[in-house]
Amino acid sequence: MKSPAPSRSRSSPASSRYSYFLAKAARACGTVAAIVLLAFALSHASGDPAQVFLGGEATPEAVHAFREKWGLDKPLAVQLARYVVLLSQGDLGKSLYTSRKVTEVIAERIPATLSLMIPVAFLAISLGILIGTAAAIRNGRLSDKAILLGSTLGFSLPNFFLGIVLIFTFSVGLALLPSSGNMYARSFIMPIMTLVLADVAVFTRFARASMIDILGKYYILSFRSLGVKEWRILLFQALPNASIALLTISGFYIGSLVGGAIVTETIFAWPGVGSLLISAIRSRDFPLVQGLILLFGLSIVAANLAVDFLYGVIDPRVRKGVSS
Amino acid sequence: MTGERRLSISIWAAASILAALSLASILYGGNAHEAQDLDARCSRPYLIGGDDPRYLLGADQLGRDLGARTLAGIRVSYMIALIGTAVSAVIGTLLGFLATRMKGIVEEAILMLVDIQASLPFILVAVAFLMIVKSSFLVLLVLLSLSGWGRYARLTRSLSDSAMKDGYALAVRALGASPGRVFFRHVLPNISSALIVNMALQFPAIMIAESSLSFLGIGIQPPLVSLGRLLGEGRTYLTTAWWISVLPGAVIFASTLAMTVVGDWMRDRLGES
Repeated sequence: MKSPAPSRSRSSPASSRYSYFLAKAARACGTVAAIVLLAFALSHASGDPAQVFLGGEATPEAVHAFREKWGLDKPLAVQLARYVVLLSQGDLGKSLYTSRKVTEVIAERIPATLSLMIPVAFLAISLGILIGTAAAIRNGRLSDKAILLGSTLGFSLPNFFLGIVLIFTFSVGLALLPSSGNMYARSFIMPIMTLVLADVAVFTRFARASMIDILGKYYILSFRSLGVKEWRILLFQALPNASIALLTISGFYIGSLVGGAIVTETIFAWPGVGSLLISAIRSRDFPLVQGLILLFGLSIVAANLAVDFLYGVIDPRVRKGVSS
Repeated sequence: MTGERRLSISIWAAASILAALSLASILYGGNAHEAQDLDARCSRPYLIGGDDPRYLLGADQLGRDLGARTLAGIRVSYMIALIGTAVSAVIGTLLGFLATRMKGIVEEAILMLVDIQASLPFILVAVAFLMIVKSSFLVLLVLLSLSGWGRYARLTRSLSDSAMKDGYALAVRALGASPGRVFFRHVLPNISSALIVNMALQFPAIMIAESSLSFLGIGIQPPLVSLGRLLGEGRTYLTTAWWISVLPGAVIFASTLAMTVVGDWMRDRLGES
């Protein structure tokens, strides 16, 4: 190993074994701080938090008690510290409308969202790799061009418009599928289609690009010249290498899944956390919105961090700061 | 290659769609999109067999001309996407340059911000802000402009980092040019193609972001119309008058598709990282 030369790149000297992981953890902490600040700002938005949380009809004693509890008479920095302590105890306050605990309201909506997101992520990634690989093999031919065209179409089709077109076709026109709710197995078809299409397009493009890149490398050529069967090369050489590259975008994908969930759940009146966020915004239910933003934000950070760590573990070049 | 020919046809088609839509929306003036005609509520587009020839593209739930409303919507949506793209390009490029120039703690801070922004989906941040600040054209514009600067900052930093070590940059520096002059007069023109490609691909992204927010009812507010708002409001009338939401939706799709095609083409021609 070389001595730690004054590296111009951002990743700290290659000598430190853990610098990659530390940098990623620092980023995650920074993002968490940003999210908590955002939530804190929300809890202080719209004037007096005591009025917002307790409603206009609260008695002066109640307002006073609330101020005591949240330390609203203290400087902002102290308030922020208290806020963080309360958050870490899982106290997100109560919904302004149902007076139920925010954590409770959110918890009962999570399964519906997961039941949508898990199949969508699975389908999007596996179909994307499959179609992208197929296109890469036929690079430049008609079928490759058709796949590229299809992925451009899917990529540009906004999910809210696709959802509307699907409802119009299958619910209004053909009366085949329910347009809202998650009551039946059939209910899953349209929301999943809406979410999967654009995501498959993204993964297809990416898988195609990285497969073409890898299939042009010399070590693939040498396997071919040794007479290794093409499917074996694809499956055991190209695909594992391409999936490392795919891992990089799956971090960002989690964020886009959340964004997609908000829109798609609203279109299909899906009783998940995404539609809960929009209805909470419409009723200006500050504690609920704040809780949901924390939930979304923190799960994205956690997922990103997991992907980054995994990436560093799988690919030594990454954690050693070597550019390929 | 036959592909070249087909490619250029799709580029022409995409560019003409964008030019025609923006030109029509610029030429369209006045308030025809606000005029209500309650007798014509939800009337079917004349082009597909409606009764009223005054409403070529149909009318909405209040009898307002859908053609005019769509044009007014295109104007707002395009303007936001255009300004948002430009502003985030300028901010991102400047910060990217600053990161290359300052190094140390400034660079770390900028890159940290870029990372944070990249990992939080825009819609989440936008939702939080729109809860605090009442949504308006200006607020949306600011939010969307701040949503995409990260990629430019990253691109500018990594490209100018290596460009600053190139012979030409070293030569100009040796002649005593200030870092600002080296960057803006010499390095920027050399890395601009990558930035322009990024702008072309960001335009549809900003457009979809604005449309999503407006569709959800927290973006563009009445009396302003945007394509997303039209689509969102027409959703209620899907069973009786599907054209109210399908027309603006189709226009959004056509615009994002056309811009993506143009962006892809530019990337292939100019070559981008």
